[in-house]
Amino acid sequence: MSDATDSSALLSVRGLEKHYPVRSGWLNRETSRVRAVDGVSFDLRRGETLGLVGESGCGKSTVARTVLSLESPTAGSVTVAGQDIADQSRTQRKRFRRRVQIVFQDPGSSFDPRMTIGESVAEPMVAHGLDDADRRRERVESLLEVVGLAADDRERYPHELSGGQKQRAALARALSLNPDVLVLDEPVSALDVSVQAEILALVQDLQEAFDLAILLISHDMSVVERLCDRVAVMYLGELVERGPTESLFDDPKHPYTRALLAAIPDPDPHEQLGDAELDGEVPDPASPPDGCRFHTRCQAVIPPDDLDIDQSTFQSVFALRVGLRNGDIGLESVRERLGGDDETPSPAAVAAAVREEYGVAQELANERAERSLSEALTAFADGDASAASERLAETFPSVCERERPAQHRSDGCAVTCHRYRPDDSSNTNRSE
Amino acid sequence: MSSENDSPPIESINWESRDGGWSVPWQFVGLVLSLGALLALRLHYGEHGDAVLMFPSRLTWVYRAGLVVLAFIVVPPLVRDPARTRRYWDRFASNRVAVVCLGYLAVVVSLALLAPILVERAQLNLYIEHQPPAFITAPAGDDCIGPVVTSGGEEFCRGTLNYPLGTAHRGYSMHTLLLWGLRTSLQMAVIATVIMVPLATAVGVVAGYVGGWVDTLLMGYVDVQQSVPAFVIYVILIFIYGRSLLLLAVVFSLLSWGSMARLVRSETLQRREEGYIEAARSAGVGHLTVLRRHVLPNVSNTVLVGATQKVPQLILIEAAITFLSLGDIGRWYPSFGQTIRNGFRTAGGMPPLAALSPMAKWWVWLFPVVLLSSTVIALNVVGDTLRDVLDPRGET
Repeated sequence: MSDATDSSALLSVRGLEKHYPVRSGWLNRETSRVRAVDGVSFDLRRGETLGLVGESGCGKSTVARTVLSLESPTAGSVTVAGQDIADQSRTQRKRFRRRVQIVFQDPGSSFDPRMTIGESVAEPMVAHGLDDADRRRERVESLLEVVGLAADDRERYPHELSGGQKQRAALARALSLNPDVLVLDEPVSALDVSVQAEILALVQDLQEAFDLAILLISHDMSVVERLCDRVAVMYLGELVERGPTESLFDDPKHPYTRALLAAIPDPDPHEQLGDAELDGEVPDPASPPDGCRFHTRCQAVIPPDDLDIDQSTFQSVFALRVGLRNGDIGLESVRERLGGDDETPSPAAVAAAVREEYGVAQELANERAERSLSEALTAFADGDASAASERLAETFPSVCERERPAQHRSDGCAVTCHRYRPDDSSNTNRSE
Repeated sequence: MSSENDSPPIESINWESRDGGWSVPWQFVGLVLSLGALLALRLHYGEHGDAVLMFPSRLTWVYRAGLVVLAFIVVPPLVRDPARTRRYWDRFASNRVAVVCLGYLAVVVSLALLAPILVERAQLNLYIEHQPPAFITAPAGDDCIGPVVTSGGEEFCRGTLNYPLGTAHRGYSMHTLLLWGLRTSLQMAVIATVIMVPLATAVGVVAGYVGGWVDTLLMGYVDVQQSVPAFVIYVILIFIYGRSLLLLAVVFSLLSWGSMARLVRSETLQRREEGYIEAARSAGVGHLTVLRRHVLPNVSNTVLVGATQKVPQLILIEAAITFLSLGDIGRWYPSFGQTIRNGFRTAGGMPPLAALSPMAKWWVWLFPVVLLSSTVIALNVVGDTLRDVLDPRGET
């Protein structure tokens, strides 16, 4: 897990960045950048499955597209078997295209409605010069059989196949060039649960039979748990945690990973829902939050050393602060909810309502904290949200919003969170 | 992986020893050969007439080339995949009205294609102007060639089988005018299709697939073009080249493909994001092959539907312009517009019959009006049905 390229890795990604410029105005000038992927590194070895998880919009599909060289990275490198894909000759590029194949999420659109399944599966082979039609047909038939379809299915059209069958055919197409690396972009999320299990089992069989390295991209932690040897968790274009599947699922370190795991539905009705659920939306990747990008939604924001306050109280006040800063709390909407349209509710009522909405006690135990909070809420009720936010920032700062966390590594795991200081080998988790 | 002897489930191929595939584009070769043969015929016969037609003009040769091109665009996709053709036909056949309209169009197009073989060009014969159709009587003039019947003190002329649909101005027989008029409409349609379809497809596909400044530039041009009134350009060009059907067809086709190109572009934009194109790209299929194998076949429905909407418009425009006497006049390209105009004309021509009221020579304008409007309606019905049949959303 060092930053130097691992020589045993088949696929190495180092510091990958993909930014999309946002252009506007008359001269089409670049006004901002969407940082879809912002510094991602991982290795993938032969026969290994790496899961890349995260909410939608966190940039995991962009990683896939960049790894496949469907898009060129803004910065960083993708290396396949020691060959950087950025500087390749034509022949090397063709070789790379054969080595790395992809299966897409939507089985409905991954086949040309005007081609038979056989033609689609054979298409990569034609592009790579397998001109002998008989040999191609034989190969298509055996490929279809390997993925659990009938050889006759090659004459059928995509609309005659079910979603699961199409996903099998997509695997057949991906395997047609004897690839080493298979990228599966949400391979089962568009399928029924029963079909999902079949496809996942097929992927496992194929991996064993062909000794494939698989990069599995998913938002579904249970799929990842079933298939992957190692997992990397992405948030807003960055990797926040990675490690072997077992240790990551047993002992998630990053608060975001914990939240994702808590979101897996548990069949046991007596199990209490974890309190680590995710609130709010993923921030705009065009202007990601400062410091740790997850601090706006984190359940474990670190309180300042000089403030004697318990974690959950600090947590809820901090959420309120973020809400004020981002303009998520509107004075008008609070008033409307309170008083209807009869009269303007008193500032005290507004303050109480805001406290209630964020789960903050009506009176904080710590005197300094309480003074600051009530002043801020008075300012808010007067319509000055930015003053309120500034007042709170003085008393309730956090290292999470100031500094970008560094990566902390131990036994094949890596986590990027302020709660795990890189110089700290004793692994102090202050919330425990 | 139990033993070394296990054969891999899929044979491994030494891809390194293979170059990119290359196959003969038979469709294209056939098209070039046919056009070459046509050019040879043109050089051999010139404009002095050949087996089919006396004095074929430049327009006729363009029209023939257009027919060849159309045949090579339309026929191969239908033949290559009979199962899909059959599927489309089944869906098309579920609409009875559309089937009737298609049958009607087939008859009309065959008549138009065969017109030069079926009847000679309209012959001038000033002594037999405005004869009524067979078995129909009309107020008699001096030149009745059929029996003259007297009824209530007035003389009536009865039509004869020599001119089953009667005659028009200058003694042109109506059935000749109608058949050759159909041929003129078909010429307009063929030339317009052959000019508009490739242009709209190329511009739309390139703009949609390449995107960026190419898209901005091409669509900007289409905007400009759509604001240019073809009619005005045509009227101006008349003063340079004279009134001609070829000019009319070229000017209106070159200025009318913009909306089709926009349709094709938006369809291409949608298709470009489809998984199969990404899959092909990531498998190393080149852009040109992706365009030819995936984009073009999938936007062809849009093109076809666009053409069936645009062509009837142009047929009507041609008739309207000849009605205004701004089109090709004379007996070389008898047009519905021209015939209808003569049917309504009450002055000029040879006295006294040219001064007949439109009601007294109703067959002159009624037949072309009925034929023209029924053809246009049939085209529209078939076009609408094709849009429903070819809509890919109906395919899943």
